[in-house]
Amino acid sequence: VEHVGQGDTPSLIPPKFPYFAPVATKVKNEDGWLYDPILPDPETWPILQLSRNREEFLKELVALSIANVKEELGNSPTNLKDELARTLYSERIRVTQTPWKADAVDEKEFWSSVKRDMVQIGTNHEQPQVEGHEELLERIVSRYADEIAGVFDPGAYEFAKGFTTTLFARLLNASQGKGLLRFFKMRANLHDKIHLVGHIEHIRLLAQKGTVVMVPTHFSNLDSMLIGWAIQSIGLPPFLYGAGLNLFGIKIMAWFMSRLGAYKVDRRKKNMLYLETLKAYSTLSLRKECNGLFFPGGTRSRSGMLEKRLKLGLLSTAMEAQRLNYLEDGAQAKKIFVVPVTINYNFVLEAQSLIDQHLKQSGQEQYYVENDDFSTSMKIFKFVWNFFTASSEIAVRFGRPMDLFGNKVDNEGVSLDPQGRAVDIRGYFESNGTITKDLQRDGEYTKMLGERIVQAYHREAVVMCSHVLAFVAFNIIKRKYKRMDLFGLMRLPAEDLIIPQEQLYQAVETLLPVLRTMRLNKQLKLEKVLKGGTLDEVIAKGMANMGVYHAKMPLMQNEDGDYQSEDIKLLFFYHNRTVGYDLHKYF
Amino acid sequence: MTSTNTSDKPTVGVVGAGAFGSAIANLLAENQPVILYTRLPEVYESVTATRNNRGRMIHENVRITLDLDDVASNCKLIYPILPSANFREKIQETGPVSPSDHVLIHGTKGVDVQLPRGEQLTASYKLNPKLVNTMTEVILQETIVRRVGCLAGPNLRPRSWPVNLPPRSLPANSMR
Repeated sequence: VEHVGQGDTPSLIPPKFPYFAPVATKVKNEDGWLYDPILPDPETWPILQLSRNREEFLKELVALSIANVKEELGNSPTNLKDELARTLYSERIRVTQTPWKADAVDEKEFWSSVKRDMVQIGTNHEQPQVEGHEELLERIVSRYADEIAGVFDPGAYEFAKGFTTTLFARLLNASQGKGLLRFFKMRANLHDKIHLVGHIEHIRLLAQKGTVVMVPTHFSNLDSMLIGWAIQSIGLPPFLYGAGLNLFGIKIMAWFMSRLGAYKVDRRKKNMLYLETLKAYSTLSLRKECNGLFFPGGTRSRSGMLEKRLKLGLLSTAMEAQRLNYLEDGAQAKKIFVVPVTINYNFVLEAQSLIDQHLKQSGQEQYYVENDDFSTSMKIFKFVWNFFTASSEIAVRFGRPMDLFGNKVDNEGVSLDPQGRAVDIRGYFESNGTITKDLQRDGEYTKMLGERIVQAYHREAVVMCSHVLAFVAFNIIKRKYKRMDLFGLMRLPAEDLIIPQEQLYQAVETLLPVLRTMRLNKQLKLEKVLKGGTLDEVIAKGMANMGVYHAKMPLMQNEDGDYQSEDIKLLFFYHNRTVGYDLHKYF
Repeated sequence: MTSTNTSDKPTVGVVGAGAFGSAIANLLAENQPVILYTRLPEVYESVTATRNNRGRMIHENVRITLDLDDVASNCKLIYPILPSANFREKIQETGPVSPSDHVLIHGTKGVDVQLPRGEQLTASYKLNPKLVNTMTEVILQETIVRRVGCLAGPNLRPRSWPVNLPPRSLPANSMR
């Protein structure tokens, strides 16, 4: 048995909590660093059962969605009619103005037929209007349900799994020597490049006791593929996750995602009927013990910052599923556990377009640019190639699991209070001793959960040398041009972006002990070199990994030995990763 | 004082028998049975014997106790009416006996400051907002209770009210 993760030594378990499994220890088997699957037989995977009984599941889903929609509309036929009209209106605009490759071919016909029937219901006096509208509601919801629900194919999953690993490993091999010859030769270890660290054993135990919901940070479109691979690597059965429908327009992506248990989420559809169907899908699948994966940031972080505010829609479905579990399953009720995951990159392929969008919209997500750097299969291939051939690393850190109320849980899944005593969380859903449906109350719980997840992101983020250098360099430039606002800084010419070597060294030297103290106080995690390396090592590692992919470097060393940014926007993007720790006051 | 039929209503807890706590207990007692916690044996004895709490009368529907468990195990709705200076400490004591279906409504002004180990609050100390917590935040941090409310009101303690508290950890007005 050896400890994993160059980015992490096994953290000390606080003596108050003897219940937790040790952090990240694993056994090396013949395939390299891999965990044995906790459920070796795919027949026992809930996700497969869900897919097998798709028809039945869809029926249940449609029924639940319709019930929720009606309740939301106060069970009023007039409200239903208005909502249908609104949906029809927005959907017809969507179909004509933002068509996507991934859309069903009969999209136009479907909505035309809905329109025709809407008109007919209004003029037909023989059938009561309510019936007509309810029928229409069912038709629309059924269509949404069928679109959202994916199909899981264990054979294809096995193939995809092998394919990803082989592809990653082969590409990795190529980097170990010169040229393509090595591509087929060496057997390298993928886990040298992608570090899987954190509370892995604990999560594996909990996955056998209840349902696990992973909530990763989101910086790159590669995240979905990476997290799928990571989940499989730590021996968990596939997770159900939502992927943007736009990604299904890209062939490689569609191929992977439709087989690795993805369901489709269409961000263009903001109408209530769709959102209720999507939420019902998530609630039902969690109730059926399918582990889930949400990116609670909702979209990739445009600014490069860790998520500060989360989208609570899908998280609220976990709360709803937990309440229903307690209400309907009594003593056998399964618990749902939340695992914050941070994905820590040295560089993000899409950084350039992300930060451009961020600057244009100043943080507001008003439109979505479909054509960014990830839009073609070739570019993805190029990225994967560059990632493995450049000496860059990714750390996927699985944070400490918690229950839906932010309480710690022990290995058995029992919730613990801050003093480490076992508590029953059923009471959260009770008023005067009985479980009640109270959407406002549960909404508040979800909001609090969101805050706990954000706190965990900051605590569990692995700060890398390149992040520190970007942070330091940007702050030095910012201080030099104190009077300029952000947009002024962004327009500075390259010759004004030179930082004397000594100044950079000094600033990093000031920051290092601060970061190390913060790590000891459990406020953040550090990459190995940052934890114990010398100043020279930190700077060398940071520079080696600094935006390796980009055509223009966020930071590079020039002939005089000084540091220079070729693209301050990129520098700003990577700098943003470590804002939120109050580090700027050290400049 | 008129007594209403309160036997079928759930008992409500009040933690802290200061001026505000006593007032809250008396108001609640108009409608339902109340358990009032005090940490002072002399207050307990005085109220038990004469219903007099340092010059104020306590409603007959109020039962006074020296046992926090008594409050926690008999009440779902609890009003911690404590001074901010030892609020965290008292909440840590109630924590273990607070199950997830409790509702806490505190009536405490002021803030809680958690300084890093070894540091002391002086006039020139630069406070970081992360070190300062409201009482609601203290409850959320120290217990598993998530349904937390806050009750605000006027300052009820007269100048003559005997103060029997540990010295305040914060100099007055240091929080401006």
